[in-house]
Amino acid sequence: MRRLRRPRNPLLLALPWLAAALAAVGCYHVVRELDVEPRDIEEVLPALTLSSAYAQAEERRWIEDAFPEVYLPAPVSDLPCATGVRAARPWNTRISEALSWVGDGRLDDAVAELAEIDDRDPANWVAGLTLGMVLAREGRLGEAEAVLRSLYGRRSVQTTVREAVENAQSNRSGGPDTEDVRGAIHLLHAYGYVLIETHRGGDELWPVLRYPIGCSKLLALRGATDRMRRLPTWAEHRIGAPGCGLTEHSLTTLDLYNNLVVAYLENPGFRGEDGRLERELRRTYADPPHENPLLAILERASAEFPSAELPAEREHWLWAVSNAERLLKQRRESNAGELENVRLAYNLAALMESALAVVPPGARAALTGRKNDLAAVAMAGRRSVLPRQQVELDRALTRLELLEAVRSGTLPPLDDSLTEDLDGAQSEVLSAVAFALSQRRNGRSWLVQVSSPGDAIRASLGRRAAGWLEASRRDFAATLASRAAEAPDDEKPWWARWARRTLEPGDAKPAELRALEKEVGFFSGSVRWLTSPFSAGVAAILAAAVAWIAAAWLAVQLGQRRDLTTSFYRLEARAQLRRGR
Amino acid sequence: MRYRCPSCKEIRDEDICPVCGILTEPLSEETSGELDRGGAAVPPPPPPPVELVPPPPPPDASEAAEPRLAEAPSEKPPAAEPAPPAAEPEPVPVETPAPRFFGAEPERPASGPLIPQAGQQHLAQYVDDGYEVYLIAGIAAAGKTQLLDAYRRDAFLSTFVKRKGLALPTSPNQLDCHPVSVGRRKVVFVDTSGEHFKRLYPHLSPTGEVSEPEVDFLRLISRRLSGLVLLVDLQRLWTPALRTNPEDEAQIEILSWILILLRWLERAQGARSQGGEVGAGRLRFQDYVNREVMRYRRRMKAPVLVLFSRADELVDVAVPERSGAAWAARAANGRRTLFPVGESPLLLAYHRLPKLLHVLETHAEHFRFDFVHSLVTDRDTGEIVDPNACGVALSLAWLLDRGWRWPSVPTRYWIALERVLDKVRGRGELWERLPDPEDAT
Repeated sequence: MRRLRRPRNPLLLALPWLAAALAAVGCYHVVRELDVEPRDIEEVLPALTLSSAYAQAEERRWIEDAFPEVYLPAPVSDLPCATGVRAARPWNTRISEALSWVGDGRLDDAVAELAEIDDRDPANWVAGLTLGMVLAREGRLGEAEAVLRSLYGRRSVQTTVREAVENAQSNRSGGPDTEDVRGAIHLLHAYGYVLIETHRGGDELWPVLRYPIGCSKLLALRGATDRMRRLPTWAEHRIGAPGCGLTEHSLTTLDLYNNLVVAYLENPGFRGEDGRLERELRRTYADPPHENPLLAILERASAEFPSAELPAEREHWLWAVSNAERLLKQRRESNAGELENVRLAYNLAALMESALAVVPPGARAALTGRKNDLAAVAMAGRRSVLPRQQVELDRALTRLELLEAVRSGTLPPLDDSLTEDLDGAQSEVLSAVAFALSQRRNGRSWLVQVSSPGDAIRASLGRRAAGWLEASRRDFAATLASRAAEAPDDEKPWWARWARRTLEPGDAKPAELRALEKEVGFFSGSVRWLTSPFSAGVAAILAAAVAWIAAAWLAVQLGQRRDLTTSFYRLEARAQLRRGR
Repeated sequence: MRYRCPSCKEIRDEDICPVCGILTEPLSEETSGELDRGGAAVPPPPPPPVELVPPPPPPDASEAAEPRLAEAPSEKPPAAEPAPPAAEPEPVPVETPAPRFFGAEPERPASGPLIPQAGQQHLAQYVDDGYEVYLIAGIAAAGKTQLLDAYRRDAFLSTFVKRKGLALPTSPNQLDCHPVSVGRRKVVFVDTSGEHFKRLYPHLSPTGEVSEPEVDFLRLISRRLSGLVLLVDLQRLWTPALRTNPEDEAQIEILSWILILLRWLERAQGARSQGGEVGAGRLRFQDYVNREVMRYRRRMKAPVLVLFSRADELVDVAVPERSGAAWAARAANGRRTLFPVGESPLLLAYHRLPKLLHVLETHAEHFRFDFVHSLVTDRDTGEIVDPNACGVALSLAWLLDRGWRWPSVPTRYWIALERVLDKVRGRGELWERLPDPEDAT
């Protein structure tokens, strides 16, 4: 006998499933509808000024990886003219003959000759100086160092230097013979150059570099230097080689300062004596930042050093900045005009480039301008440096140009003669920077390119593309997060969301976005999380489950109501009648 | 003796006011007589019988009704030789038609334990094993056992679950437990003799009272009560000529009292009453239960199935008249008779069993009414015409529904909703119920 069942409305049986389906669909759409933005981001984009701090940092990293930061010391200048040096007697002729051999390509003969003279007559410093300078010029720095060190260690030289410096400090014009002082200056300069080039730091370096400056002051007091353009004492002075007249390659006081600054910059381990830095940084004058940006850095260093941005390891750098500031200050006060020393101009420009990271905001523009002026001087006179420094200078100037271009967003056309000295990696970076700058020039197209990077970006940037794209995305996020500061409070979570949307998984959040999220709080994350498709799906499933349970319960209740008013007796009786019982 | 309630000032027949639950003040006999003559405002309950009406004499061997379900493992074998009552007066033969039940009810002693210890131990075992207990209540010969037999047949249930491989022994004076497998559920139907329920009713109790120990088997049942079946024999209820026992007329009261007891036991959770309140010189047990139940707000959760048994014999049974009700005005000759197949059990109960309906609405959350018969027999010859039951499987399926475990809308609310809907549909007259003529006096 077929088992009878209590009557049930088919609609009630389907009710839970219908309710679950409707609840799921409805809940999903409701949750997604909450994903309503207060405004279209497309309306806001045109008004945004996209920042490029992160992209710039990425591009700077390319440049600094490919172009090492270099400083150019002033090399050995004119060799002594032995015939004109009284102290060279009786070896004048032989010394001059040995120098002629250098020009004939008989370097070893010349070296042997000069070495023999120096050995036979240690009191004759001309032979030793000439030998050392020749060796330094020819790149035989180790031998040059030995010779010059030996010469520097002689008592006569020490006495000459000491007396010259003491008299100069006392502002007395008396003291050792001018030729001897001139020789000592050239000796110290050559020795210092060799020590710099061989990266021999240590305590011996600093007197070697400072004493010639003191000695040159003595000569200036005596009027024995050529004061160009009749400038005051601290202006540029030329110091002719012993026994020689002045030439365009004659040693200058700026060369002496140049090497001192270079030595500071290339010796990170330099530490002044206790309290010496404080005295070094102290100034008796106070210039406004736009006039003396380096002074603004020194004032900040006096207040904060050591600090996070000016750690103790940068003390050597502060010494360089201090010396540079004094030099430029004095030149400015003496109306010295444009600095015409190419190497010094480049070195100061490079120093100022490194100072842009810590310069106070009020002095940034002035420092940038001053740096660009110095770089222009160096660029204009780059052909005047010695051939062996030409390539190095060209690359260094290219580096400065690129760094400035990254900052300004515009890369001026570079001379082919400048770029032909670049190696493969450097040329690659040059092209990459040029391409990146072209992309950043138009904010809208930049945004579009980064959002959907095409083959052009990857082809142009190569392995650098991923890092640059991430940096660009971070710039977009930072721009939006910064823009949120002007938005009403109820819109800030959306700005945070838009900013996050520009980032891809794995991208580091910019500091501006982190600050915005911290301000907005949990809601900044929950806006997107709660209304995401995943959350909407989860909510839909939960709603479907609840609706199913509720509808099933309702169906059961309605079934019970039906049972109450239904006579099962009648149902079974009818069923039996149908079965013919 | 009549009593007056000092609170509501009504005249009561009990020393405890059923409305206020407080002791009433006995009236003097003279005052009681005057009230009787003048008509009491509250109809008195049926007076307790002085003595029990003895059961009909057992049929002789030639007329012994063979168990119609001899093959069915009924737990109540026919008693061939019922035990003679002890110290009873000469039984007065009553000319009544042969009882239409299968297997004469065994003779029960007038005194002694209601449920012997053996049956209660079995029940206790089932309760401890976590079985869902369903109680079948009804007066003697209402058809309780036949109902279970029919359910097993029609519901295609497995035969009785044997406990430890042995069939449950059945014998007189025992509480019968019928374990049944319903899917993976463990269900046990408890079938007791109608005598037991009759004895629980104070007005039919020999002592006029019920003691708390006498309801221990109900207390045991209430621990796991999952459903209650109340069998009502309408034929004996409404046909005085067919009544053989006082309980035939008092079915509604007996079943109501059983329901109240179970509600009290469910709430009390098996705990006994405060000994100090019940006892000699204090509240009677039944009064205590009535008072306590009135304080309860929660009704009995277990569903109650009220079945009008022997529906095949109810055809053309006259329904007690209540003039004016549109529901009752059906027959052309004005005489309302039953036609179970065409009746609405709910409306029948609403109009003709208002007290039962009121009790159910008061004490139970979920209930329903229906007709049922276990088999059809010829009225004259008693031969089985149709061995098939009707209304059994679906009704018990309703009772066994798992949905009762969930929070459900109480039945009284569905009834109220039906009344409103019928009124909206223009069938409000179906629910018009004029006062019972008996209540008007």
